[in-house]
Amino acid sequence: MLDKLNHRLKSLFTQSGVGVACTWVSVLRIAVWVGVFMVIGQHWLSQKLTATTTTRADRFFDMQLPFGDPMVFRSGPAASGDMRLAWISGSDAQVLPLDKGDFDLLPLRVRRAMPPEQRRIDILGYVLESQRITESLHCVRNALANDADFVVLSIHPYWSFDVRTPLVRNYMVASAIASNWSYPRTLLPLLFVSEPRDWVRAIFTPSFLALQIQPEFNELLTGQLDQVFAINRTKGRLARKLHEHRLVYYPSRHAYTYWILSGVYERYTKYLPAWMISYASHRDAAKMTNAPYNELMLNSIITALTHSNAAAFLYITPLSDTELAKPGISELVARRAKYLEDRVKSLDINHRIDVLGEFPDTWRDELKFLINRDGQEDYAHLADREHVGDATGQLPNFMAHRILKKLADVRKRHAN
Amino acid sequence: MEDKLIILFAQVLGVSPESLSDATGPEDTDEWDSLKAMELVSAIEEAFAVELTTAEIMKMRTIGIAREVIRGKGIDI
Amino acid sequence: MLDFPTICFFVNLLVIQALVLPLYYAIRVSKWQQALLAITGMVSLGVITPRLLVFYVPFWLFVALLHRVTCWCRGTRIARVVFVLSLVALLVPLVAWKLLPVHFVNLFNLLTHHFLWTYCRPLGVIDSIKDYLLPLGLSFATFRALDLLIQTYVDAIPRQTISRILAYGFFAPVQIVGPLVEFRELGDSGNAARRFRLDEFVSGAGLVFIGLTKVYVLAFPLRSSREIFTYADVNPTLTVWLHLILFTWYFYLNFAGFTDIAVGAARLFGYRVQGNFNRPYFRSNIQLFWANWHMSLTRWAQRNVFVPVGGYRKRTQTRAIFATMMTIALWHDISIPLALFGLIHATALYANRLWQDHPAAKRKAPSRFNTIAAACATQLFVTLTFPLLALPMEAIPMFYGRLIGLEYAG
Repeated sequence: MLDKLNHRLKSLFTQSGVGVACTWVSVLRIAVWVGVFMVIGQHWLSQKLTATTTTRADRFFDMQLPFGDPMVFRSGPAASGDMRLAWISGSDAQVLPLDKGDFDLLPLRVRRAMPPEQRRIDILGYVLESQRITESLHCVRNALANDADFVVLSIHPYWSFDVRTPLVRNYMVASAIASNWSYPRTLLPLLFVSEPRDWVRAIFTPSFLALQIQPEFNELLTGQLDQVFAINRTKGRLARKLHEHRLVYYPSRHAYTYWILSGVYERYTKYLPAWMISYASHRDAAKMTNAPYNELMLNSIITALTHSNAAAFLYITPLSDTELAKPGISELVARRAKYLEDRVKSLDINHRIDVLGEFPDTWRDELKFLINRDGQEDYAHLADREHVGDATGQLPNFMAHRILKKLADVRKRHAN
Repeated sequence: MEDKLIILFAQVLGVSPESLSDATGPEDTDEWDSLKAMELVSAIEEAFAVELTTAEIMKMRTIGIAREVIRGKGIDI
Repeated sequence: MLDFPTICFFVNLLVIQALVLPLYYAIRVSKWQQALLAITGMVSLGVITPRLLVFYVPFWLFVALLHRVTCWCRGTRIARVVFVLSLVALLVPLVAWKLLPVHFVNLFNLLTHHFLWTYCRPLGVIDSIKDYLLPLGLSFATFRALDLLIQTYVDAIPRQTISRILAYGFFAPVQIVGPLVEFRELGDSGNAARRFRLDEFVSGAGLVFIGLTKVYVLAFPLRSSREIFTYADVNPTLTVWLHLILFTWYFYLNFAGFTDIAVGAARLFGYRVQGNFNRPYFRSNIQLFWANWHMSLTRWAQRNVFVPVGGYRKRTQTRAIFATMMTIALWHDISIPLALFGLIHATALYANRLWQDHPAAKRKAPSRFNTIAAACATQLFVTLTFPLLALPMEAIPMFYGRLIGLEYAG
């Protein structure tokens, strides 16, 4: 088709064939037109998408990371408070309210637990869909670049240490590359785990809006059809039937180690072949070690905090009693908690970084974990049960106290 | 000297002999579809009094290969 | 995710090509160029996840071995037995995947990963970070391997070197979405290395652009039409019809776009492989439709099923038509809906063949109006069979019921 088109165009123009023959001039012409349309396209796109920034419940609004993570919230206009607090965690920081409406955030509860005169805090809430160490590093660097005074980082006891887990969002490797240009020690292992497209994305994303907000851009494109001929997306019998049909594949996605460590997917075991259950059940959680890649990323997090002026509080995400009762889990968590504590305590600036490997039982006992459909406790997610605030118990007070104390210590040292 | 095979192909496919060569295959001629291929097989067998095996038919991807197959049966074309 | 996005594969490939092409065209010896082609293909798969190589390297080495054995057995009494056993052996992974998808996908990922973790820990660590995947490109690889073996058996392909077979097997542009290139499309360069030609390079780059335009400018805005298969029971009949028709265009533009990118990428390596689509929705009968839709698969089925089953003999042509269409259908998936799809299209092809033999069809050429009407009728027929490609059996009666205005009563 291209050849026929070329031939036809050639016959319409002079024999010099400028721009219509297969020459370097025609390649240049294509490049110029691509550039022109991309500039026009960018302008149109930025106008269209500015209008779609959402606001949630007047409390915080979406803050776009360069690579399009939609789950980042900011509690207010820039620089309005005494302190800028960055809270980086997985969904463990989301608290389901009593009415099962929009979730509350642990950092907001922590702020409410602070004395009124100390509540002028600008919160950058990096609530990731699933906690992965590469993403945590990216968020820490972003927070420090946004002048965070204090960084709270929740570290997942399984996923943050175990490389045998799939990355949830495939653009995060590109974001890791982009944020590590100046850090060869971290860039080198990324070379081995990345694909060529990640490097292309890392290079071009900062300059192209369409790549920065690709999920929204995709929705904009695919949503055009809906504006003309909308589909009613109420879930009927057909949708439910197809969902059941697709569930057959679902457990395959999580066949690696961690799915046996969390009870989340137990309700799907009826879809798993018996040999796979047997394979997974022989993996001994008690013997699992930390992956070198994850340790490198964790060290990079600590290094980033070390080279900043920010104070920090690192903690291992608390797990439910149901989860800890599983074979080998409490030993695994204890081992990783000790690793984290030893790593931070070995630093000569550990006065700035507070670490908590395992929560005191008194605080952990007050936590109310989500009860799933089978009546079992979820392994890490919290939900209010009887009254507002009971999911987190005294935890917000505990953390507010730790944060404010650490901040006061740091300020005192600087004053001296 | 007239090329009997090219003329036969041209007659069955309904194209001019000048547009065909030994390198011509189904990808080069829109007219050479499976229906015409069936007619070609019958025409070759009739014209040259040969019987083609399945393997030979599968091999005949161009006029040139068809020529080799027929020569392989002792017919000089 | 289970399914690796096709565009990600091609972005990877184009970046790799940008790095490899200067060296590729600097090489003057054909076998070294072939080796570089094979390595490029392996790298294209390996960067997705190393465990793909644990499957595909032995797979193509096995194909090379079977090719050698078939060549060696030619003309002997055991040739046919060896050939049949080879075909069966090559089909086992594909058929196992289609019949037992969950088991196969789990085994595919777990065993290959376990091999890497045990015998090559650095690659195992890299592999751990990668996602769980369907066996990418298995359908295409299997059929290309079968084609090579069949052509070897009928003596259409002489004995080949291992490097040439690996270059064919790992020819990167066609690994994931085809086209199903024949060996002779890639292997006929003899001992001459491919030379850089500006017109081929620009033509290839142009095709890549056209493919991207088809995928992202034309097809992508229609993407939401595929949701009609999930929500047909809660939408009006007119909406269902409309989105079904839009889906057929989304499907075609998306597939054709990626094929263009594949063909363009192949051209960057100096290979002109045949395309897959030639305005299929504007064809006036079902035979012309299949001659212009997914042409590489149709050609494959024609030479490897239609001809051997007796398609060129009138007395056996009917069974050849059915066998060919069933092969095309079941290549997509071994399921009842796809079997129905094959049967319906085979019946239509047979009916078309009968009509073409009828005296009424051989009268003067049809008018422009009749041609357009015939094209619309063909397109309507094809559109009505699309749900068989998209839905499981239990959902099919409901969907067709909605098309004729029935309420869902399941």
